[in-house]
Amino acid sequence: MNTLDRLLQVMSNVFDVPRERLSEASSADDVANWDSANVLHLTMAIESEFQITLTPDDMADMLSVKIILEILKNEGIE
Amino acid sequence: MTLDAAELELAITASLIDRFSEFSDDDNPLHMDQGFATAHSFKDRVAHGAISVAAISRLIGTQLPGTGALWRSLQIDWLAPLYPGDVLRLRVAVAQVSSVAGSIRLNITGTTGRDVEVLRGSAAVGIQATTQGLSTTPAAAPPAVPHSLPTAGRADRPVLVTGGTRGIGRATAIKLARLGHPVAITYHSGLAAADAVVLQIRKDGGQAHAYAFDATRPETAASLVADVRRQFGRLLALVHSASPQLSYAPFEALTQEGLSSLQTVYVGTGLALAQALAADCQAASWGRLVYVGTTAIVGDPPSNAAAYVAAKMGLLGLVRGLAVELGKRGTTCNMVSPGLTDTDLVADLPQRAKLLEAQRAPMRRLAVPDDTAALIGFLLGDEAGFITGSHLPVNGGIGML
Repeated sequence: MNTLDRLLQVMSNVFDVPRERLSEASSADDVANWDSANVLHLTMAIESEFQITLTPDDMADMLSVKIILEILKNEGIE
Repeated sequence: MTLDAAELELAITASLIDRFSEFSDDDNPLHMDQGFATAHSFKDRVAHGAISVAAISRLIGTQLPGTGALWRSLQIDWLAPLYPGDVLRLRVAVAQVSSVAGSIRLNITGTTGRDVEVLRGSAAVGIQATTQGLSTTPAAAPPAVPHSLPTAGRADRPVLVTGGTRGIGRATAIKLARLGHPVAITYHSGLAAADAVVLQIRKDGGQAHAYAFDATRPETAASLVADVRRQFGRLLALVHSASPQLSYAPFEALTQEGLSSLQTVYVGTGLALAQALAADCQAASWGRLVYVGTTAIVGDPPSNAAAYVAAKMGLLGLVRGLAVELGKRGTTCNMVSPGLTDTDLVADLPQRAKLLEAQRAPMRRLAVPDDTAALIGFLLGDEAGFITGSHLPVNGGIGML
């Protein structure tokens, strides 16, 4: 599984939405449960899935799949 | 200097004091009770001071300046009491005529028949509607239309676009040419890019020329403008969008040279260009100065950009200062502040920052050069002639003013 697929699977679990409803173009605008409480869960789930440690800035920036991919890229995960 | 004067006499009587007391409800025993007044070392009932003010009102309202007078202020010292039997002789004299304020200043003196000075003061009176009673013509009102209405179209209004070879400057040059303006663009090192813009404009049927210009050298702005004038006859509009490549660094890493360089390009050259255009704008009673700012100065600025933010804030100060002074020449001066625009200028900005900016904007995208070009096109038109000194963000709603 590539990084995008792994990320979308994590998001599907956290946000409780079907995997096929998520894509690289998804953002907080179009995913129903993408709220600040769930971003906390998402952050922890991403840390666990990718074995990284994120910062509060990273968490605050998690507004779209593309941005999260950039955050992962900063952590060396392409 | 006394220009003109008017006088009246008013007989002070017990009946007048009674009538004033009834009208004003000021029945202080000093005015109304002879015994009380004499017990307080006055020789009789003392007339209300406001009775003399009423007489001054009559002089101003009916004689000097008379019809159309608008009394604005009064300063008065009462020097001695007026008693029943006195005759107040009032004199108002014009001490000053201020055309620009539409106002005259009157000196006021009051004496009694015994040539005792009883009051002294001054008044300011608006004279919009009258010159009656004045021996000079006061208050030359500003002309109803402060500058001539434009009779020229966009084709008669060449525009200089600095930094016209890339990004926002390029889009603006092309847009303005399509609107009909002859366009002069400047380039620093990108001669090929400048040629491409000129060729594209000419292919579209527009007029364009490119000029080499180093925006870090304000002292060369005058000769640049002279070159443009030789080509286009005159220069009435400016879009200053030239910028060095931006770099992002924490404030500890900023240098005085880096800060000065940005200030020179934005503010120094911005001023020099305005100075170079001023004569043509004055002659035409028409001009448009547009400075490209940045949304980084709207709301909280981004980090690692303190020098850039400082220089663009300085530019906004220049824009406002110029607007104040150029308005009477029919010339507007505004700052257009694009949101983060995906151009060469910000090539060094991390992709994450761009994505974040887009996702945080109410319009959910970054700016494109044409967003800004469209507004500049509007600002150069006659319809925008009342917009000046304005800071106009084009940023999809980020950090609203």
